[in-house]
Amino acid sequence: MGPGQEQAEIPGTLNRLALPGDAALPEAVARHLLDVHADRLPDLSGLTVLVPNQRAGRDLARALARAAGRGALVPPHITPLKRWAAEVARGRPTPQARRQARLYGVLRREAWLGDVDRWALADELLALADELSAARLGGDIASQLRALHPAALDRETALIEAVWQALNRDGDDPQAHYAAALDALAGELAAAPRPLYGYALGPLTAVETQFLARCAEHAPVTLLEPGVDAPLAQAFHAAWQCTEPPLLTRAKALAQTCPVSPLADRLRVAAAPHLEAEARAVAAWVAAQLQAGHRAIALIALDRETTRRVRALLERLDVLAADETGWTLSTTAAAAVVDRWLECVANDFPHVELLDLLKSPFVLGDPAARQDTVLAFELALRRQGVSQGAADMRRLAQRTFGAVPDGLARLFAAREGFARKRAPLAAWLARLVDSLAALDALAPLSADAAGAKLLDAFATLRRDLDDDAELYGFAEWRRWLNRTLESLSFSDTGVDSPVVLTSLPAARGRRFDAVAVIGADARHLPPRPAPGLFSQATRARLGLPTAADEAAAATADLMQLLVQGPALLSWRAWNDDEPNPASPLVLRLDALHRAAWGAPLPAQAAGAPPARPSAPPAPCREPAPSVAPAQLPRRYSPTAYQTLLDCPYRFFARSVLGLAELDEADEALDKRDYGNALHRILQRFHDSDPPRERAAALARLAALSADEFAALPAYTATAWASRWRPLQAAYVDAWLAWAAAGWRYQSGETDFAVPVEVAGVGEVTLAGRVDRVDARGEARAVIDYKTTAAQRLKKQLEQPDEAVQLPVYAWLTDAAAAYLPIDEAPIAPLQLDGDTDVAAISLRLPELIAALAAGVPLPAHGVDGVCAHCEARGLCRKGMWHA
Amino acid sequence: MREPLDIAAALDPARSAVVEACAGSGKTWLLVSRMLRLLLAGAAPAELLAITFTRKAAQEMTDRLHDWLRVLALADDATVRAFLRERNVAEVDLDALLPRARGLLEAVLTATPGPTVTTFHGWFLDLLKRAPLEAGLPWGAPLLERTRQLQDEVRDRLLAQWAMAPESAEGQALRALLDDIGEANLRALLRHFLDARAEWWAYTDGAPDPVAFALDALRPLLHADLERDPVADFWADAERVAQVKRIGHALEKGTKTEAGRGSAIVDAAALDPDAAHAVLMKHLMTAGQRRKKQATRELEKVLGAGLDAYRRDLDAVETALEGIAAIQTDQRIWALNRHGLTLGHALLAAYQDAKAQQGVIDFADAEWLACRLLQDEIHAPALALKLDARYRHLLLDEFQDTNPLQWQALSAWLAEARAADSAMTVFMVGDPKQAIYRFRRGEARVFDAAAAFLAERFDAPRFVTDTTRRLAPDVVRALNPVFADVDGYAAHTHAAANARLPGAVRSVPVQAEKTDAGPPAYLRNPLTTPLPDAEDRAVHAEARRFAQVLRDEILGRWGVRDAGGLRAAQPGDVLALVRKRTHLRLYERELEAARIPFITSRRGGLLHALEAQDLIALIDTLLLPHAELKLAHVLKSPLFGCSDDELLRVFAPGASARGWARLQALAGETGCPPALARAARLLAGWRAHVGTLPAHDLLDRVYFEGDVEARYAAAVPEAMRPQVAANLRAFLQLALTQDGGRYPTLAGFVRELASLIDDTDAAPGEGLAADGENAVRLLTIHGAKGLEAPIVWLLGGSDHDKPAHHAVLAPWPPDAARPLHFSLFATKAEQGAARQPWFEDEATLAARESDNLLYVALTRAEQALIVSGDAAKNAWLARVDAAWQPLGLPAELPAAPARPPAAAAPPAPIVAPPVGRRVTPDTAGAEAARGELFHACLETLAPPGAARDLPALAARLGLADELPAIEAAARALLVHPHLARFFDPVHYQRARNEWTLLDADGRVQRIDRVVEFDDAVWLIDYKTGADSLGLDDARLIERHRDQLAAYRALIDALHAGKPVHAALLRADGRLVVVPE
Ligand code: SF4
Repeated sequence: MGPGQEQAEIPGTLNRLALPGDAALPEAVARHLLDVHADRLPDLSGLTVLVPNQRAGRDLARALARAAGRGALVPPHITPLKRWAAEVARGRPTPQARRQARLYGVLRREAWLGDVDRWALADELLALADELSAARLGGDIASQLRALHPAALDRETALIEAVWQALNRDGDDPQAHYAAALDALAGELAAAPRPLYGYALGPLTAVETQFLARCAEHAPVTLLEPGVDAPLAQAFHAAWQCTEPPLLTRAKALAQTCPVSPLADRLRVAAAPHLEAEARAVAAWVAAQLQAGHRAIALIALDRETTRRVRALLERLDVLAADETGWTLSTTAAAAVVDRWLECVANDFPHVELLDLLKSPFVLGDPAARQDTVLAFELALRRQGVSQGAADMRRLAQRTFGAVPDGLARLFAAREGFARKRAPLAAWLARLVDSLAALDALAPLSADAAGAKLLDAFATLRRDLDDDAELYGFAEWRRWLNRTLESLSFSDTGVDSPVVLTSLPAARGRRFDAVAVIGADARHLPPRPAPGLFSQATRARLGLPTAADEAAAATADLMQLLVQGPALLSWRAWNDDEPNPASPLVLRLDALHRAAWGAPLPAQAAGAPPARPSAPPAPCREPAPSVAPAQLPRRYSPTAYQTLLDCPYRFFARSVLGLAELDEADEALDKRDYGNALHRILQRFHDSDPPRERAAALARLAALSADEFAALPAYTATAWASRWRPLQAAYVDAWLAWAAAGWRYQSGETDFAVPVEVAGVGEVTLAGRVDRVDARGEARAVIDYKTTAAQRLKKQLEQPDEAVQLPVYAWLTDAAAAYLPIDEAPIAPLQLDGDTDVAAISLRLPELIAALAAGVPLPAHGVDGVCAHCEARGLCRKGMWHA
Repeated sequence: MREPLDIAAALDPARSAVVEACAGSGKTWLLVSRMLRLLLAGAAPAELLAITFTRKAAQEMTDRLHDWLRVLALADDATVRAFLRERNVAEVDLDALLPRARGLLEAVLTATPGPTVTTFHGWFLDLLKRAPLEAGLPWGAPLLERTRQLQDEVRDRLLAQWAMAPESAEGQALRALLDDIGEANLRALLRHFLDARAEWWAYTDGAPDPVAFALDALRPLLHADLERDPVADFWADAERVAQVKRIGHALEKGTKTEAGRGSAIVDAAALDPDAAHAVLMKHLMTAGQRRKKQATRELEKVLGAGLDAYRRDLDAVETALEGIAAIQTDQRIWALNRHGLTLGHALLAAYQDAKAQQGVIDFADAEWLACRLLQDEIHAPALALKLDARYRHLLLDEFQDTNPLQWQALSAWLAEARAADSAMTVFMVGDPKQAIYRFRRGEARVFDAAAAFLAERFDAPRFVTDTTRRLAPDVVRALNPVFADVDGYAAHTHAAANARLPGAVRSVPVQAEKTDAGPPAYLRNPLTTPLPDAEDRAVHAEARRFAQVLRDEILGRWGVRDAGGLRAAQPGDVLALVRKRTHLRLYERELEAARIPFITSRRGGLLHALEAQDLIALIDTLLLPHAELKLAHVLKSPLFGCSDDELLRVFAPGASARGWARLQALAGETGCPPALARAARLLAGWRAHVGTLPAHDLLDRVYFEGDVEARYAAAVPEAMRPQVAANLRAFLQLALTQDGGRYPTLAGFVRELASLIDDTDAAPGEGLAADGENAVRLLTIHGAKGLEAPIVWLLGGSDHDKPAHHAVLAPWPPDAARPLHFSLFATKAEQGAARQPWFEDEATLAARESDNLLYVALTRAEQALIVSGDAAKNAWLARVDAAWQPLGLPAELPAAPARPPAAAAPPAPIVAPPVGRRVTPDTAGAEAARGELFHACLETLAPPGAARDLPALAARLGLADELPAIEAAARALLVHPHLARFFDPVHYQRARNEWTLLDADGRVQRIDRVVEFDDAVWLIDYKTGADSLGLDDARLIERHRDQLAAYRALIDALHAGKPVHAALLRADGRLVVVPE
């Protein structure tokens, strides 16, 4: 049918009628209805108009009223077909969850399916069964398949047949139900015929087409279609709906009727180099539309990520967009809380999930009231390295607070109360809801839109599944729950705005002032269905809708939208460094445009989003703060001294500001912990006055080691033990040799401190804790255990003024000093050169302190070797310095 | 058999062909041209399957195809003819093909499916999606990209489990391995085993007990008796002991050192065997080997005639000791494999389970399953039915990087497909010289195997081309001698079109610069003098030279060719390549210092960048304000730009309140520095949104309110701005991606980031400073595959490969169905005799790959090629240096004037009037639901009634139980006698329930009931809800007056003439008439 070609409406048949293409579809339909039925005014209630969705219905009503120009109008019966059918439907079809569970119950017993995920398979099969039902194909699908592909697809055929037998035979599936309702409607219409119209209904299933055909037998049924006669529609039509005659010919013809591109000042494209650029181009375009007075703006969210970015940018402008697209429930904060809770139940309170829960506003009452306790608890967890387990956490809480805080106690109790015996799905849900009640989560969840939807879903599912008796384990149920939450969608109704984020099907048949399609690339447009059980070819031969059908429908939807007003097609032309091809629709339109009017489609530039300007910060420079004497520490360890030598700024961060890194609760025990464990073992060994007989000493050391490691996690204990075991003999040998030379153990972990007077500051203390002090007569030796390789320690000893620990120990204790590297057999002490001027080295520190007190700044030296392990880089900003 | 490239034959759509094409010879041109020719010859778009190595290459190929098709569709006839001629379309066919050529763009763009241009992995995943039942997979099982994290989790869990069960087989294996190789090596071993899982599966395929199978195969390769202790045997042998003693005594007669060794050896016989063995290994052998010199001249002289006997003894003992060493090595190999395979296999099983639990698969699974599927004859017919496309023309790109498993699958499938369809063609392009993916199991020899297969089954000639269109003549001249000795390398030639393109070649050997200062001054003053950088190695010097030469000699000076002629080089013209990422940081730092903008592919780059660290610290602070270091970090970042003095106020030494609490308090004080006040205000504001706002939305707020982009631009040096801006953008995008996932939280986001930082495989790269950013690209050679640039600088440092250790040996020649062998090895010293040939093969392949890497690196350069490195250690540098010395090629490009870059106009600010408002979503409570049901009951019951399924409605509203009561109440209401006038049809002409009307603006108005009498019309609004109960009549009227007036106007418009009355009906049946 050619554009603009009017046809008479023929009673008794299904009429298709093209409307003039120069107006938006709702208006064209309204005009047509008023023209044809002028005699009925003001009461059009004798007509029924099928619309694609409720919102489209509202737009039609508005168009009718405006076109009629009267104070009041009795509108036609305007309804989406599904809703109309629902009004007359009797009873309820079997709920989806129930069917799914029933099917799963069958599939879980099919061993030949191997590792296939039964839940996913069940969903796939159900969807297919519904499609077959909608196509009225069900009963003989198996024979059809066998006829099509003898000797292939046996498994699929068998599955489908089984599913059909199990679930769809009794006519209680949703599609059969729908068909029954439509039958009733058709009956009504036959009894009392009235004109029926429809437009932009999208792809119709066999059930629906049959319904329309039946209606047409008794009443005039007219499907109104947008015409392609107006220049804009012509251009889209020529670009997207024709491939004949050749492009150049079509373009020439078009240019002839329309010497100036009708697209040039209506349509823009934005091929953005990255996500942010696309979002900024869309935002700039929306802003321009608003400036031009347009309000009803549709943002078709093909690319969800960019769309979210667009929404955020628009919100900066106080342009709020109503989100019609909906989110899966699993992405909401409310669902996250439920998930955290189940994770705690499943794995005995992993600290991360536990902390999330404790900080959540959804459980245990007002989070502000427990905030300080929670933060204190988190710090304690980190310090003690407790990463999991109610028992350990309870102990820790006792130690930290003297008692287990209420919130924590309730979580522990709720977990104990959460039965984990195998149970039916509904019973599991009941357990979940009960436990949420015990955590006071129900009220806050109901108060949250997504939370309310979540609770609602639980309630519905429980009702739907209450006669399902199949038993499930905890993990199996959770997987079901996850899938279910993933499949349920939630839309945020918190914004009322003429600017809407929506999808192509949801925008079908509606009226907008301007439309932007976000994500018009080859991945999203036309949308590609995920591969299913059957290939497209098989689907086509079975009469099921195919990808090509969907693509054609999407193209038609898009055309309807784009002819209404200004439009934008945007996409990311690059994903990181990969090109991301544009939608074939864009490529075809652009090619046509070039061919017809010699120019590419006009581009939309990105704009600069609003900012909240602040006084700009100073350029980053190498820092060198000075410190007032009162701010300097009074006590200096060799480590602090060493830090000051390595990088004065790091000393500033650590010792002046007192900033240290927090531990992570779940960090595996590391090298430092190993060193600490050895230190403890050796101190206990020497404190125990071990026998100076090799075998006995070794036995003692082994026993003490085993004792120390026993408290560790099993793997750490094993790994450390196997590392330490071969060294024990070497250690004992080294000690015996040392003892043979006359050295005797005096003390372990001994503190030494020497006060020094510092100009401008007063008295400061140089202090250190020494691992082991030995004596031989008057002489003393201090020994520092190291798990570092001897090679590195030797290097350090070569520069005692740069590696100051041993010299300072020697000076503090007035003794000989040595490292004892415990890393490789044999073990032997590495002594500090006896000629080292330990006093000069140690007393450099008070001199430096005096200089600091006098105002000498603390520069950041940025020596790579030091910076590599420095926690203060965020403070010194190394890497961002201006020269 | 190789023939020089015959383009006409190679593009002939009716034939198959193999093209071995050197770098820059226009592989993509050939491939896409071939696609065009196929389409022109009538192939349906869906029949084309092109497989290349990266998604990027696939996308570029698609883009190129579209571009060309557009030319064909839109250009004038002459251009199209020329275009086709260039692609060897025969002159006689031109006219006939023209219309088809013009229609191809639309034919391809409208085809469903269109041509498939993908990677092996993409193709495999697609296959699996379409045949999940055959593969035993869930539908749409998502791909797990971050495998390392899950592997580590599973490993740690298992290690703990094994340690807790020390008596189990795994527990014992764990203990043994920890004792033998230590913890770090154990982890390496397990990791390497997991990485070789495809080989493991292939090797043990079909074996009921894979570990036993592998061990059974290994055992015969080792010494027959591994149970006995060879050392004990040695010392138990009296003759041996005598030999040892004789040697000792003989040595004692020699020089002083010999005498020392000799007496030690003599004494050894008295020690326990192990100790004695140690003595022999120390004093008789050296580093496990025989000594070169058996005796000093002195000893020889002393021994005189006894020398021969001494030598015989020595040789016998040495041989015995070597024998012992060999047995011990075999024992260790055996132990390593017994324990290592046990643990590896258990770990692999657990990892597979963990993925199954999550319902995900990884790349290795996809590859393995898809290959099995393709090789499986039983599923083949079903599989064909499941694919939407009937592939008849296969185009394979970069085939040298294919692995044996892929080739096995592909060849099986091809053989089958060819048998079914003789018109099938295959076009394979690649370059074995550019095979550089051994670490991803690529196997260059597959190319030859495939070429042979295609020659035999598809009659495909093998063409070779050594003409490069990319390289300038001088670069070609420099290239050839470097590879002259490489097996199979043929001298390259430049394209005629490039004959006059200037080139430059340079090698830059560097040495560690001697720091004149020497060691730091004794008792250095750290406040004035920094510690000199520990080692000033050659690579430091190289980095400095690199930046310096770029800045002072190249940028803005050298002329490079571009479309518009000659112009001075810009940073974007330079591609700097490294072999490994090890020293990238050094080069970056020098570029920073020289103020040269660059982008880099440093792994995990984004998250290591200071600006990303700042944002992570910010989120940490918002979650845990007590984390003082993080708070200080955020305060000092450009976000707040606080000074050190200001930090001192927040973290005042000795003060009672510190950190967060102090900051909040300070903000309330007068005289609070503005930066701190701003920080306190913004941080508190953002913290209030934690727990409710998703990560991206919170970050957007931070960016907006914190003026983030502008502040960073102001704070960082100009050369860094593009990269910093790109990183800020990339970070926001990370948050967006995370928010789309399941159960997102802010803490989850930070956790994810933390794990990403450590996961080098998955860590996001730094944001690409796109927008055609003009920056030096600093990439690995692997990352530069497929790229080119006018100026290429290969940075060498002193990189040399560290030999692999604690890894897997699994040789798999391309024509074998599975690996020939599979075992674990510890170090080079413990390879064992039997496995030597395989290790040697591996070494040859590795050497070959090193050549290939160099070839790939050098052939990126269009005009100028610079190679630098440690003069003493860098083998590549030595090689090119030697090759280039005699050539005397120019060392620099001719100078050219700088062309000022077109200044892009700054983007216009986005301005718009505010639109939309927030509303509290209608949380329709139970009361509203009851109201709805009551209305529905009235609508049903009041004449003329309506057909409504009340039980269904009640069920939907959750009021099934209350329906009887509500229905009864509605019934009761309607029978009030005084209401009969409005509800009994005998009293009125006509009544309507729920009458829907449109007002002039098209708004829908629904009136509960309208009753038409002869002389008047009444409209009745039901006010039965709880909210009306408490209101007296007057108030009720007041509240609804406007609405009723509107209703009245509507009715008026429809029933012109009759007076219209309005009334409200209360739940108790009272009718409240509303006066006009
Ligand atoms: S990162 Fe380097 S320069 Fe900065 S404080 Fe740490 S050590 Fe000093």
